[in-house]
Amino acid sequence: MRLSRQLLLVGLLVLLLPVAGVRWVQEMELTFREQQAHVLSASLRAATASLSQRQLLPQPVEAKGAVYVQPVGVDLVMDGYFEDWQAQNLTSRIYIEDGSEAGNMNPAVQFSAATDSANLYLAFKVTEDKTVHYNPVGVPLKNGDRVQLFVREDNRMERYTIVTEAPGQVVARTVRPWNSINRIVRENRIRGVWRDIHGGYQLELVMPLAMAGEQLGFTVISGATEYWAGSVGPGEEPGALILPDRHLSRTLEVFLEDDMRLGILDSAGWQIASTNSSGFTHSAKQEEPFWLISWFYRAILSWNQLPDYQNFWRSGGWQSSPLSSALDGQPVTLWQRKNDRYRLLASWPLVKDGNVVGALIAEQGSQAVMSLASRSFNRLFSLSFLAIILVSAGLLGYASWLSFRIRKLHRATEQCIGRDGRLRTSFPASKSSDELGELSRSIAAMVTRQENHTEYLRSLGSKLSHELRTPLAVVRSSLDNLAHEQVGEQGRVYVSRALAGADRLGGLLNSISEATRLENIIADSAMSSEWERIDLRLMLEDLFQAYSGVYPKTHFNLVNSSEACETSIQPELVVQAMDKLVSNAVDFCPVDGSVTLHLAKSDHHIVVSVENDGPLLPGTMEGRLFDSMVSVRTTRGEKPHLGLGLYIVRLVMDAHSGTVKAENRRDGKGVIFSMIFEGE
Amino acid sequence: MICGKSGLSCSCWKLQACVNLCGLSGNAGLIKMPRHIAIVEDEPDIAANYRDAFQRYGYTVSHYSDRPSALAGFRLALPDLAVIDVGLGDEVEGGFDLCRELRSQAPTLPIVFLTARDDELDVISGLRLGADDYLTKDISIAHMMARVHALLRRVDLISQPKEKEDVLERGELVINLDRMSVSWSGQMVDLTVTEFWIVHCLARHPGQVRNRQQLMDAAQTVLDNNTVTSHIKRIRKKFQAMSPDFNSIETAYGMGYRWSSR
Repeated sequence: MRLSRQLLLVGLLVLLLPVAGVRWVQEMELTFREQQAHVLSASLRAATASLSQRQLLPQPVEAKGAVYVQPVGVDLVMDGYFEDWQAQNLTSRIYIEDGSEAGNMNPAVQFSAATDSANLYLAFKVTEDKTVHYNPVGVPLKNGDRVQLFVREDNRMERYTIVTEAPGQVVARTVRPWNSINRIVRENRIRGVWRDIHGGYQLELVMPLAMAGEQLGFTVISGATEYWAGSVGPGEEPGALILPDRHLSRTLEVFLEDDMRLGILDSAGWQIASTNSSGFTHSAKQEEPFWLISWFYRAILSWNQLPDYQNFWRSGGWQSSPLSSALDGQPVTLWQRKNDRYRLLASWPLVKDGNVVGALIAEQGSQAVMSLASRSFNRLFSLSFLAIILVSAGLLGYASWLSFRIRKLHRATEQCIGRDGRLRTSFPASKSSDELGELSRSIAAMVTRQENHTEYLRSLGSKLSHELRTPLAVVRSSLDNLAHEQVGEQGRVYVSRALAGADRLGGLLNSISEATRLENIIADSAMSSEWERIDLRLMLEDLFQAYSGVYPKTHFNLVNSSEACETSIQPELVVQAMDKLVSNAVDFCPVDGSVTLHLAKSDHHIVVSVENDGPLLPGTMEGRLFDSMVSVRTTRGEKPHLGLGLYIVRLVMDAHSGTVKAENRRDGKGVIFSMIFEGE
Repeated sequence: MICGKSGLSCSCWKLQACVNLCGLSGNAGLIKMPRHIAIVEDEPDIAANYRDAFQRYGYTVSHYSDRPSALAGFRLALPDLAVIDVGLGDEVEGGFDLCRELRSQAPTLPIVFLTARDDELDVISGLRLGADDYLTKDISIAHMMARVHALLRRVDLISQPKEKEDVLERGELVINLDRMSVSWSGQMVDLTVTEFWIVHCLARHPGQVRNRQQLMDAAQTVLDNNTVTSHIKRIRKKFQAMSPDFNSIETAYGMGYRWSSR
C-alpha cells in the first residue's frame, strides 16, 4: 500500500469527530425530550389540579355497553349514505355478539354515533348473508331485519324498533299498551333512511339528544336467523351514553400551549372532551434544512426505535392506547413518530375521592427538539466537514510531500549508481534534519564509500600494471644486457624465451591499463571537439576492406545501408570498438563461416552490427558480457585474453550515448553484436 | 665506438634507420668526448642495467637516485642528456619537478622521461614540462638507445649547421632528417622524437596507409593502439596550431593513417 494511502487511512480517524458530535447531538436530543416530557407532565398535573378544584372532573362510568358519541360540528344529512360521516372524520365501532358460533351467521354491525349538541345521529352498517324486510302481516315488530333502540325516558326504559317494509324513509316504532292492547305507535322523533346495499343494509338515524338521555342501547337483529348483535343483549340494561363535554373542552383550552392538544378520558377510556384540533398545527413553519443533513440526522437520531403514531383522537376510544394506563392511576409519557415529526403523548390520571375517574391526555409536537437538533446538526455537519477536509487535505499533502521525498530519494539512489556499479552522478544529500534527511545523508555517505571502493578496485588493475612494470623493466633490461654477454648456445635459447615471456607480460600489462587509458581518452575527448560528422556507410566500406585485408583467412560480407547515414561520432573510438567486435567475431567464427558487417538506418537509430557464424552466447552471461574482465572464451588462445574488448565497446557507446546489444541470431547458428546510435 | 651492428632485432626499415643513426653518431662521436648521460632512477637494478647499457655504447653515466642528489650533481656539471624517472622515492612527481628545474637551467638539454606510469595525463604533463620524449619502462634497451642517439644527434646538428642536409619535402612539410626537425610552411614544428618518427614514417610515402604496428615500429617503441592514436592526435594538434586547416594526416578506418597525397 502506498504511503499516501496509508496516511489517508490514518486520516480517517478524523471521522471520529463527527461520530462524537453525533453522539453528543443524540444525548442532547434525549435530554431535551426528557425535559419536554417532564414539562408536559408537570403542566398536566397542574391542569388536573385545576380541574379538580373546579369540580369539573367527569363521573365514573361503567364501561360495559356504553355507547360513545363523537362530537360533530355540522348537521348530517339523512340519506342512508355515510360519506358525510367520513368527511367529518367520524369513526365507527364494530359490534359482533361474542360467543356466537359462525361469524357470518349473525349480523356484523358497524356503528357510529355523533352529536351536534342538539341531535343524536346514529349510523348502522349491517352486514349479513340475507336481508329480510319487515312483514307487516307477521308478528308485529318481531320479524324481518330490525334495529332496536333502548332509551331511558322519564325513568322508564323505552324500546324503539326500526323496521321497514322497503328501503327508504323510516320512522321508529314502538309497542305501547293502550287500553290493554298493545298497539304499534310511530315515534316520529326517531327517523332516518334505510338503504339496502350488497350483503346487508345501511341505516342512518337522527333523534333529539334530549330524548336519548343518559343511557342508550341498541340491538341489531337479523330477520333471517334471529341472531343479534349490539351494545345491549336481551334482558340487559343499556350502557351509558357517553357524550362529549363541550364545557370541559372549553375549559381545557385554557391550559393549551403551543402545538398542543388536550383531552379528557372518562374512566372507560372514552374521550369526552378535547380541544379543537384547529390550533394544533401539524404542518410546521420550521425551515427545512438541507435535505442531506435532514436525512442524516433523521438517520442517526433515536428515531427509528419510536413507535408509530396512532391517532386515537378521531375514534375517541383510547382503551387500546398506552395512554390508558393513566386510568389505572399511572401517569404516562411517551414519544411517537408521525411522518417525520416527534409527537409527545402524555396522560395524567384524574382522581376524585381516591378513585380514578378519568385521565387528562395531551399531545404535543416537538418543533423545538427538531429545530434544535437540526441547528446543532447543521453546525456540526459544516464544522466537521470543514475539519475533515482540512485534516484530509493536510494529511494528503503531507503524505504527498513525504512520498515525494522518498521517491526523490529512491530516484536518486537508482540513478546515482549505474549498471556497471559506477557512480554516475553525485548523490544529492538532503539537508533536512528529519529521519529522511538522515537516511539521505547516510545513503550519500554509503555511496561515497562505495564509490571510493569501486574507484580503488577499478584503478587496481592499472596500479598493478604500473607496479609490475618496474620489475618487468628490471627483467627486460637485464635480459637485454645479458644478450651482450657471453652466453652459450643453450643460454641464448633461454634468454630468448625469457624475453618472449617478458614481452607477453608487457602485453598483458598494456591490456590491463588499456581500458583505463581509454576511459581517460574518452573523458578527455568528450570535452575536446573530436566529434566529426561521418557517413557511416563510407566508413563501413573502408572497414570492410581493411578487415578483409587484416583477416585474410576469414570471409567477410558487407550489408550496407542504402542511404547515407551521417551522424556525429568520434571516429577513432568507433573504429576501435569495431576492431574489438570484429576481432571477437573472427575468433569465434569457424573456418567455413563468415562475418557480416551490417549497417541499418531507421527513423531514430543507426545500427552497426557485426554478425558471425559460430557458437551461441551462453545464457548465464547475459547482461554481463560488456562488463570489464568478463570473458566467455573457454579455449586458451595464443594471445592473452582479459575480456576487455566488449567492455571497451561499451565505453565507446556510452561516450556516444548509444547502446550496445549482444544477441543470438534467429537461426541459432551465430551471434550478432550491435552498436546502436541514437539518431539526431 | 661500439655501434649498432649489435643485436637490434627489428624490421628491415628500422635496421636501415639504425645504421643511418650509428653512422652519424660515429661521425660526431669520433671527434667528441664521451657523452655524459644522467640517469635519475630510484630503482637501483634498473639504473644499473641502463648504466651498463649506456656504458656499453660508450657513454659516461651518472646515476642519481633522488631529486636533491640529482640537482646537486647537475649544479656541478650538466649532463648531455638526462633520463628521469617520474616517481623518485617518496616524491611521486619528483621527476616532473626535476625536469622543470633542469629545463630552467639548460633550455636545450634533451630530457627523456622513463617511467612505469603511462597515463595519458602523465605523458601530456611530462611533455608540457619540456621533456623531449616520454618512454615507458618496458621499452627494450635497443629502442631506448636509438632514441638517445637520435636526441643527441638532434642537439648536435642544431648547433652545427651542415651544408647539405638530408631533407624530405612534402608540400609545405619539410622534414630534416639530420636535424630531426620538422617545419610546416617554413615554421618549425616542435615534435618529440616519437612524433618525429611517426610523421616521417607517414610522409615518406604519401598516400600509403601505415597501420599502427608500422607506426610503432617506426617510432621504435612498444605502444598500444590507444597510444598511437593519442600520438597522432597530438601531432595533428601541433600542426593545427600553426595551420588551422591542416588535414594532411588522414585516418584510414580500421587500417591506420596516411599522409595526404594532395
